[in-house]
Order: sequence, then structure tokens, then C-alpha cells
Amino acid sequence: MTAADVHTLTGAYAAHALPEDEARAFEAHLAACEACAQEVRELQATTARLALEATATPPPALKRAVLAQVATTRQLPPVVRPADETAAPARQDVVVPLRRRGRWTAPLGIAAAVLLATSVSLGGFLAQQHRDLQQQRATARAVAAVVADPAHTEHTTRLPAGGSVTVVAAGGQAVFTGADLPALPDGKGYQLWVMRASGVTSAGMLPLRSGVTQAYVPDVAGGTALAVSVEPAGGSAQPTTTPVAVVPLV
Amino acid sequence: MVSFPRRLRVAGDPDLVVLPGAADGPAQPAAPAQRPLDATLLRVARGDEAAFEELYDAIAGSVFGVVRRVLRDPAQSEEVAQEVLVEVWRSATRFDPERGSAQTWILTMAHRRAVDRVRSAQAASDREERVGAREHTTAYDDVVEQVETRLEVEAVRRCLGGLTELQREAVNLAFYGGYTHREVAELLDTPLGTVKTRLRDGLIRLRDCLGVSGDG
Repeated sequence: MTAADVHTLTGAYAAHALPEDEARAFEAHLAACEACAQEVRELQATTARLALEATATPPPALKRAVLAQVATTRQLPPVVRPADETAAPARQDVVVPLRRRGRWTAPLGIAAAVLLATSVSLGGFLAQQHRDLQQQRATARAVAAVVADPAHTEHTTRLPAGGSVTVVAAGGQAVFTGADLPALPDGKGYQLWVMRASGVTSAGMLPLRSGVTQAYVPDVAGGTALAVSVEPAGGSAQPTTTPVAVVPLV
Repeated sequence: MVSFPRRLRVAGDPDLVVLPGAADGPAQPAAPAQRPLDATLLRVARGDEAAFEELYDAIAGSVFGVVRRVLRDPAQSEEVAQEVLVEVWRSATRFDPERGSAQTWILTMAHRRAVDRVRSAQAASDREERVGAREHTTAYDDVVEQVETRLEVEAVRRCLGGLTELQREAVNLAFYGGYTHREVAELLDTPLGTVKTRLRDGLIRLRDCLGVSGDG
């Protein structure tokens, strides 16, 4: 199949007209093609309307059976994002007081200041799971401490499919941000990993909003890099795909 | 790109810089008031069984309906519909309102499960008995009570009417018939590439006629 051909599969994919192996192969393409991923989202919303057209009155027995089974069925736990770590409030005591100056850019450098600005809005992401202003602000302080640390390291990497990610690290903690990241199809997510000589550990699934993501990782001690890979939305124990980005921590 | 934030005073924390959008606290997903089912599903994700019952009342008819349209067999349809609805409960925490609506999430799952059931169970000869999918009728066989759903059904039928006959055939066979694109090509005696294009063009036309956006 030529490169031009693969884009025409969006309709077949949305209509579930691709057999299993072709569907998986197409999902790999979607991870790298934002235009296709957007089109798939729209066509899935469209096929959902086709499903509505088939609406019928279900037998009453169905409701009884479903409610009975639900009462004895455990739900999957929520996806835990790195910024939910309860270690965050404990970091308040290592916050470096920020020098007051006219503009943030002066003491920190432009990239770091932008990072800080976007990271503080982390509260918006957290709030979807945690409507707790205290937690948001504690994490924001921890983020500020990392960025304000005069010994912090900062690295940015571009992704092959578009977008870039930046890691700022200091004192065994790291702040991770990404912009213009390609959207992923339903059922897939970006997972963040800490790479150490001893092995790779998950730092959780990255929240993604219009291509932007942010995460605070409270423990990267001994880590050499942070990596991002595309995984099933529930996360994997170890990376199952080649990372789309690897960013040094040191 | 990110614009530099204006400095806001947040009580008790003069060093905290807050972006204008985040100043009021939790960020809201797109237009939740227009998508009440999203709010219900988010409550289901927190284990709210009363919310699940509300969700059932809102969407089970469509789940059952699409499953039955694809599977045709009434007993199997009830079984698969039950599987789907219980899976909605079980995996509700995986619903991400940023990626699309609850309606899309649930009905995509329902359609996929119905199609998987068709493909896993049946031998080729059994499949041919379902050739009835070709003569897809447009008559109601059930009373649909909610006005919003009736309007929705009218809109979809009107928009389906706006497709070319060839596009409509491909969409009907693939979506309601549950056939793979190769099977559709076989049934219509048409090249595979043509079928792929018709499916894509037909769904795009439907999308535009219905006014669907990526988060609809």
C-alpha cells in the first residue's frame, strides 16, 4: 500500500470494516498522522450517529440483567497521573524562594519561564481528577522549585511525527511538558517512563489536551532520561512500542 | 504558542503566577452542558450506580439497536448488548472527554463488539444467510420515545439520502452489515480501493451533513 493509500482507510477503520491485523497496523499509522487521527475522531462521531439511527426499545429483561451484573462487577481503577503523587505536598520545604523581579524571564531564561507558566496551569489538568486547590498549588510550588533551581538541567527533543517535549530536572525531580503532540486514537495514550541503568519504570499516562501535556515527576533519582511511548490507554508494565521521544535528565 | 501570563495575586501566595484561563480553578472540558451524557459517564466512573441507571435509560436503546441491526439474532443481540453496557460500567474510568463524547465512546464500543461477534462466531456459509443485511429496511420496527432521538433518526436518514447510491451501499454493508472492506468489495464486485474511497467519502459527506465535529 502506498503512503497515499493509507490515509483513505479512515472510513473503513471508523466503520470497523478493517480486520484485526489491518486495524492494528492502521493504529500505528494514526500515532504518526495527526490529520488522520483527527479525521478518525470525526468519522467515529459520525458512525455513532449511524448507530443512533438504529435505536430500538430494549427488552425490560435487559435492564434487570445489566443492573444485576453491574452490582457485582468491579470497575477499573482510574489512570493515575504522575502529578497525583502524594509526595508533592512534602516538597514544600525545599521550595527555593523566587526572587522578585520585573519579569519572570529575567532570572530564569525564556524557555524555563514559558515552562513554568505552562506548568502552573497544571492545576487545570489535575482538577479533572482532583478538585483540590491545595493539591494544585502544592504541586505548582514543587514545579516552581525545580525550574528555579540554579543547578537544573533542561533538554528539549522533537518528535518524529511532530511536536516537542521538554524536561527540566533538579534535585531528583523532573517537570515534563509537551506541545503539538499528535493526538492518538481511542484506546491509546502516551505513557511516560523513567529510564535508569537498573531498568525502566512507568511514571504514568500523560494527560493530553489539544496536543499539550504536562507532568511533574517527583522521583527521578538515578534516572538518565525520560521516555515517551504510545501504549494502550490503560498503560503497560513496560514499553511495548519504540519510544517516540527520549529526553536526558542529566 | 504560550503567551506570557499576566501576574495575578492569588491570596496567600504572591509568587504564584496563574494563567488567565486557570484563574477560576478547574478547567472545564468543551461544552459539557451540551453533552449531559458526558457528565453522567464521569459520575459513573466514580462508582455512582444511580448515574449508571440514568446512563442506561439514555443510551441502552441505541446500544441494543445497533447491536441488533448488525447481529439480527435477538438472543445474541441481548447478550452482546449486556456485555457492552457492563463494559461501559467496568471501564468508565477510561473515558476521556477530551477525545470525544460519551455517546461516541459508547456506541463505537457497541458497534465494534457486534462486529467482533459476527466475525468470530460465523463460518462463511453462516455469513451468507445474513445477506438480508443488503436489503436494509428504512422502516421503524420499534417505537422510539425520546423526541431528541426521533429527530436524530430523521437527520441521519435525510443525510444518508444525500450520499450517492454507491456510497450508501458501501456504508450500509460495512456499518450495518458488519462486513470487512474486502467482503464489501466482493459483494459489490468492486475493487478494494474503490470501496475504501466510497466508505471514506460517504462518511465524510454524512459528517458534514450532520454537522459533526471531532468532539461530537
